[in-house]
Amino acid sequence: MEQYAAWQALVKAGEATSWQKYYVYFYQAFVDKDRWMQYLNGVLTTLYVTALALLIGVILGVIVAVVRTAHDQQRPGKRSPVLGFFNAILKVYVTVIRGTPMMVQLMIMGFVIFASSRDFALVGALTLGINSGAYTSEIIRGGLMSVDAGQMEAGRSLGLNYTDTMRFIIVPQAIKAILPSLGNEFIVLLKDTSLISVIGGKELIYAARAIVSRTYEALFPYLGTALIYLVLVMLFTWLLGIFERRLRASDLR
Amino acid sequence: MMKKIVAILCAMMLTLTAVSAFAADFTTIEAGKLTMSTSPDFPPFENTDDDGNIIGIEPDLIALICEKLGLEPNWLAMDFDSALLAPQTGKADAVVSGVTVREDRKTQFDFTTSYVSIHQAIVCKEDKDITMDNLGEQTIGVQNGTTGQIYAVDDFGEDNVVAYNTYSVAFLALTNDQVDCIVVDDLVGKAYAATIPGLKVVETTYEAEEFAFGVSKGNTALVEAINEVLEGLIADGTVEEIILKHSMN
Amino acid sequence: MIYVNNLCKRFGKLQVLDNISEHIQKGECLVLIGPSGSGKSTFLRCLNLLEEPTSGEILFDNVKLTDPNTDINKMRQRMGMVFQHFNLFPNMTILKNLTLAPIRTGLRSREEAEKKALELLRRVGLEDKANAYPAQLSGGQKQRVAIVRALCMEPEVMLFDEPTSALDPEMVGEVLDVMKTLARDGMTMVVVTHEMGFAREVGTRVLFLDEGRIQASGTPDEIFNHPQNERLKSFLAKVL
Repeated sequence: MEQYAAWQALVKAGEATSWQKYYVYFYQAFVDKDRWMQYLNGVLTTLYVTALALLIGVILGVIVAVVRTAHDQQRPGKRSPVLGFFNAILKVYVTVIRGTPMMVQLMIMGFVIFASSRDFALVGALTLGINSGAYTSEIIRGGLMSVDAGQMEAGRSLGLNYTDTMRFIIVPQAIKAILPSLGNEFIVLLKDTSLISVIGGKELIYAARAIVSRTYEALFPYLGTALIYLVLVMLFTWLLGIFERRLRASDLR
Repeated sequence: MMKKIVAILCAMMLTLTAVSAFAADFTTIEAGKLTMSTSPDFPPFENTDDDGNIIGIEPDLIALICEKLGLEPNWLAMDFDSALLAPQTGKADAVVSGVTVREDRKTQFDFTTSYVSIHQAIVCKEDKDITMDNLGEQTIGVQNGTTGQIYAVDDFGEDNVVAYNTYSVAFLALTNDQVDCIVVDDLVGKAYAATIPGLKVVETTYEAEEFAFGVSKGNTALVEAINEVLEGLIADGTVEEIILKHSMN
Repeated sequence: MIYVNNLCKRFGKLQVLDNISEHIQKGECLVLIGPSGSGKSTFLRCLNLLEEPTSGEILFDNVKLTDPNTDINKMRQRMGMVFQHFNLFPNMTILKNLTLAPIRTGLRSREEAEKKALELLRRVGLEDKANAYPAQLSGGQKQRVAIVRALCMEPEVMLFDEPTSALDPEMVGEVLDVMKTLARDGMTMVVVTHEMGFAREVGTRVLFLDEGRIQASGTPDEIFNHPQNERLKSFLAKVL
């Protein structure tokens, strides 16, 4: 602390060595005024938003994928109008979300649709979740379609109904195709949370920018932020790897 | 023949010195241009018009200064917090973005002479009763990196403050009732209140702030060159005239 | 047992089945032969509605399968099917493959289903594979398991869609042996195959399909030894 004060005076006077200068920059970026707390709060918000968005995204993705797949696999003579109706709506949803930038979606959600909400992190998570749902649904749909058509035929020829065939035969096989892409989607989602600062969500980037605007020194806050994201993504990838290996171990093929 | 050449050379040198009296004394990152970072969401100091030109008090001042120095103004628009960092990282010669002179900022830039003095103000909806006394109970919107943010966070803590990339977004949040009020420089607050209906400007007790241009650290020659022109513009009343002109509408 | 009346199937503009009518009787082993693209697999797949007929009707045990209100799942439980590419479920053990449908459809309890599955596996000589996964089996073993899987539902008729076409030659015999035993035990069977030896030896009746129509029908002796139809003659000349 005393060291910092002394060296800070040197930096101000322009007499510091580069070692002293970087020490001061580092200190004021993380230690001074307990600023590490701001990063920590930012990371917690980032994780909270990621987790919530993930949950929303997966639930939405599964619903959309199931409805759309079920619609496409109906018996030709026996098409359900209800399924057709929802299928059309969900198709619009996927098209709109995939066809517009995330930033625009955040602006619209933050300043138009939820213009009266003050829970910016929640609105951000909802937006990210809805966005992620569209991509997740396509990942899941792709995974379901990647399973050989003969599997569905074999299941149905035994007299199993559509739901049981999906549940016991198609879905367990599809998961192996889905999981790597889904992991990728999670990582994209984690990094995309940085966008919610534009609507006032106080996540990691928000904290870093606030600190930069106090210290007028960008090196350590932004480098630190990048490092935190990198560590989070690596942690995520590692956990996902374990999960995938477990899944493969339970299925000798 | 020889005489002729000497005469032409002399004439050329005379014109050169006349056009750019200071040219030899300072350097800019791009020769012949004054490159400046700015966050053009800060009327009346700087704003963009419908053609994307950066207009306002400071662009007018800079235009006069550049004319005298024989330079061409070159604006780089970015968020305010990035604009503050630009001179230091060599992206701009100066930050010209309604920058308040602060002790801690003096380590980053060499400030020019300040040309205006302003106060912080509170902007809120007309039906709200917000003053300095109950400001702590409000959610305060600011722009990231501004003195408004610094005061609000220092006095009322991070949780009561939402910092946006630009003041225009902050005012959007105010009209949406996503924040209760904005803390901003009074001239800017008045400019927004004049265009957005239903807003009022409340005075604060924060002390006066001086605005100046933040020139990249160590470019003393450029500071001196700008100061010489700027002080002349202050002395002959041009600065006041420009500020008045932009504050009227 | 199965009545097919005026069955037509079109894929877009392509007429695959052209007005086929046929009656499959209980206990017979009907063998479908014909050049590839003749529609014999499509005909078979229409019988349990894996292909939806374009027009015409199919009656199984006096129930109209082509009626949209028929519970097709219930009817399929009574019709076993064996595929060219086995289509075993790779994510389950052999025993799970065999017991999934009987348990889920409520035909049997878990213990009963497993007991029955093991008994049938023993009959085809594969009881030691009960806990193996399909990937660990040879092609011939897979197809024998696939037959057992269908039999576990105690079907009244078995549909075979080129069951030996995807097998290495040395494995064809073991699968045909199982099918012969089934036929001898009186199972009603409809078999699409290129194995003329099997058709001649096991088939009680042979249908020759070409261009979506039944061109000839008769006992193996009539079809193979005394062919009348010109198309049939040229087909047999190529395959025999």
